[in-house]
Amino acid sequence: MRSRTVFLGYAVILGLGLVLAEFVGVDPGWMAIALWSWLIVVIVAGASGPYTDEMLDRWSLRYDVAMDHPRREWIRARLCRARRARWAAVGLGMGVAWTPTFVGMVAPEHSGFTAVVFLGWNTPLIALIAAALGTLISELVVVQRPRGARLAALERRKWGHYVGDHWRSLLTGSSGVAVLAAAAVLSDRSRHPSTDGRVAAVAAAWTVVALVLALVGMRAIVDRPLLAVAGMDRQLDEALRADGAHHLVGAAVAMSLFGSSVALNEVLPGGLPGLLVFVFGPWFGVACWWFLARQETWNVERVRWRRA
Amino acid sequence: MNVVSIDSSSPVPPFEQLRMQLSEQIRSGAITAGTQLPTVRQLAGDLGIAKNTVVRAYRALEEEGLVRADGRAGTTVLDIGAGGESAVAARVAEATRRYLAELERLGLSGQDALDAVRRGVAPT
Repeated sequence: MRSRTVFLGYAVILGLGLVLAEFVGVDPGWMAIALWSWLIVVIVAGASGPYTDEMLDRWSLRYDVAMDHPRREWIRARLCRARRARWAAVGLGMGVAWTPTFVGMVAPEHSGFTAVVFLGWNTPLIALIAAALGTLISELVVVQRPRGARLAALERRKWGHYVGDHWRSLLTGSSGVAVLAAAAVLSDRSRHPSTDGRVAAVAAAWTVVALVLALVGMRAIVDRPLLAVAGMDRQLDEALRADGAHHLVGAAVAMSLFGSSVALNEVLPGGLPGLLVFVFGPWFGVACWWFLARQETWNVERVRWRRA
Repeated sequence: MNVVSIDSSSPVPPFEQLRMQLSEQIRSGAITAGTQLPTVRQLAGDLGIAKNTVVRAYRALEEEGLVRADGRAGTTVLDIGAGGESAVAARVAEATRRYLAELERLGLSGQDALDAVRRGVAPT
């Protein structure tokens, strides 16, 4: 979707909402609902667009693979489908996360429902977990069994062949920190009178979910049947695995750092340290996601050879 | 690169096909000692066979003393050269085992086998 359409949509909703609120007396909350819904539409529609040649060239440079014309179309279709699944999941996740707020606005008598998702920062986290789930689903649904001769290369595939091992350490570490922080709050409430520990516990749970999701997803990616034992097909298959792994682990890292920042903020004494962790932790997580999903170059063959 | 394949039209069961190919590659030195074999899930997925088939083949290789299964570390190829059995000797032993099994199926004794070999190698 073009940026002009996006901004035009926003302007129309905003203008119409203001006019209706001012002259007809419509609740401005409806305008907020319309704006959020528009954002979801923008995300989903944007991801449904074509996977351009430029994008494909950038992808092949990132994973250092060459492809001929028929394979180019196959890869384009695969990447397009994976992107659509990821962003549709993000849109769905945002919708789920905002539902309690919507309900609170539309039917205030049921506003107790908002207590179900009681954390103010739940929206980005639910969007992140949805992105990770979308990546996982897109990886699982695109399993293609090789046709013809049943061949297997006697090379053991590992997590580290597709995404750096240090990301797993970061995931485990941040999850551990979050769990410890939650345990500290829950075990000694007298030292943390400003919180009942609920926020820290839920944040820690999110980080554990992120870790489990990454482990399960990586297992699915690594063990997915190989399409070919050698040649261009093998290289492309490995690059697709690396791409899926980067997106999945990126979303999980962002989610985990977000959760652990929230949990740490509950346990750290008020003031600058807590504030810094709370402000920079999530942004660092999002930066990691962006780097993993969009920037990091990766050549599976070279990594495998270096580790052999 | 070392490769294994399964021929679904072959009368030889997939487990035996896999065992034979792995055994041959290990004994010939194509797969070196210390090499980690693929996980059961990975190999079963790539070959499109049941996990139990791969487990059975790996177990047979372990019984032959060619690999060691070690939980998290997976299945590792052992150094068979150090055990005194060279690759050629191992292949001769394997051929002998198969020969004796065939003779036994025909109802012949070990002595008959020896006689047959002597006749086979005697100058004509």
